[in-house]
Amino acid sequence: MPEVRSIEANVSATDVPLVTTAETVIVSSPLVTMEEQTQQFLIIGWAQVTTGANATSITAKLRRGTTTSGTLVNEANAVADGIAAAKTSDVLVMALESQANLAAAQYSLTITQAGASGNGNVLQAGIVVIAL
Amino acid sequence: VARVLAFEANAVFQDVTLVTTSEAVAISTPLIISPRGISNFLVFGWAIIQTGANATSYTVKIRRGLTVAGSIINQGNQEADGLAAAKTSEAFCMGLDQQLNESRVQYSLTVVQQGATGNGAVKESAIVVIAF
Repeated sequence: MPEVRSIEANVSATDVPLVTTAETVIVSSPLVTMEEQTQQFLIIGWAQVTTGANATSITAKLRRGTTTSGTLVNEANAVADGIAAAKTSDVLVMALESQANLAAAQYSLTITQAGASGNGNVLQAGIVVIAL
Repeated sequence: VARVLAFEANAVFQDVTLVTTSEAVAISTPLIISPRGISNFLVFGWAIIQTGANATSYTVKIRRGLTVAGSIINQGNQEADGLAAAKTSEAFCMGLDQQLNESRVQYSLTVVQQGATGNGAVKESAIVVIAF
């Protein structure tokens, strides 16, 4: 039966700009040390987003590492319901994956606006990684 | 002091079809071996939902077991705010359950649309159970 081997978390309380439709790293987890050769990681990300002018949807992604080029670990669906340009909404995303043969794992939450001609803003965000 | 006795999670990003107004299981937890006679189970589920034509709301439920016939452990309220037919939104819910003398338990997240004449889909979802 899986048990929680370790938990790491980080929050961002300072505004992170979303430049029109560019994907942006909002918050990254600390390194999560692997105690076993293969482990599962449950990753939970949350953000409060003020969209820019003409934004029609936002996509929250969970990626390995600390950049927008890291491997995607969730499906990255664009959420459009309740999203209106220049309004504030919140987004939650979760993923579960296995990693092997690493000293430590690290994950980031990224946000991308679609359709935006103006910059958006992530007001606050958090990421939690639970190693099983 | 309540201590975490077991922790299980599951996440998928394969589409699960929501046939008009039929309730469908989006995701289930792994089997949890109940660690003692009386256990509390905190269950939370998350889903990205693409509604079908003419959907006016949806309901997210957490049920015992693997089917839509299992006992509901949350309130199962309809969510309509910000919802539009054929758009994508996210849903989150939590339930707390107590089971007596059940050595093997399992929970499922289900979704049902209201008013839909077209099929929807659960694009990705996750479920977490913490036994304490």
